[in-house]
Amino acid sequence: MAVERSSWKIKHEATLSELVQLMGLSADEAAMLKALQSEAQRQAPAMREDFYRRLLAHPQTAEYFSDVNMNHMHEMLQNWFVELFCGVYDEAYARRRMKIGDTHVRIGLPVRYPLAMLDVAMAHAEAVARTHAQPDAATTAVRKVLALDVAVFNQAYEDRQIQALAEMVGNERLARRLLSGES
Amino acid sequence: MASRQEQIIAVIDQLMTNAGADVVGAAAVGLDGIAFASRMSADVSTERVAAVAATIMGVTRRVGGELKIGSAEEIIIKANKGLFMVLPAGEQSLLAVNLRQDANLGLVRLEARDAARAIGQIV
Repeated sequence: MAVERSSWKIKHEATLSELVQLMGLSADEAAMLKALQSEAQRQAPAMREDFYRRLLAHPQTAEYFSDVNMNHMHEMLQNWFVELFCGVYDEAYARRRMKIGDTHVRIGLPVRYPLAMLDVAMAHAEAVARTHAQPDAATTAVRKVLALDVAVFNQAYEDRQIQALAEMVGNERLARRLLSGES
Repeated sequence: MASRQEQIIAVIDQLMTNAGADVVGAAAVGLDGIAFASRMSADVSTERVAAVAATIMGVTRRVGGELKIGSAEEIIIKANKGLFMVLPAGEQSLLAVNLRQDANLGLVRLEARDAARAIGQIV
């Protein structure tokens, strides 16, 4: 990995606009999602139920909730779900979503857990999409925005790890080389 | 005119000549852990040693900052079969030197400082 990659220079909120471009999320798709937000609001409690049922049934994930205010967690999760349908996927959106990744890193949550929960959110998001007049197009849009969201908060994870290691070893490129296992 | 790498190799060769057999190998390394030039022995991975040397320097600088004891001038690791020395070479690079266990540290340190200064000027 002696080569410096241009992707390394894209950081923080800029990753979202890069990914929007990469995934070809159009203005029409954003508008379609926005039109579904009230339906997402209705769907959110069911999603929350399924989400926490699974998390709390698994001892390794349940322990992250032993001393937290569950009402607050429920509210945050529902807001996260509804905001997928906000229709505006700009830097402010990216900033809000990245905070989720930052929180996961801070509490020492292995990244496999949020990724493994994706199917729960996906199933409910697709249920929302099916209520649209153009269900196939809405489903495509919702899949994109959910993938986008997962990419952004995982990027936040990676950024934080690289930042922490770079601060320790004094050089970001060295930190990337160490994390790659190249050296 | 000699290339930058050739100039650095000449400095390392001079170090190895002046310090004699005490210096087993040496490398000039960027702060990103990439070696500019190296005379490490064949059984040593220059790539890995370079990354380790840069990591040692980075962590030592962090220690210096946390303890407010200033910037690192040299780092010496004494192991039971040899020594490893890392010195800053200007602002953007460092010199890593692998030494025999019974090396004359006084002499080697003087020579290594001169070599690091010269490498820093080249880089």
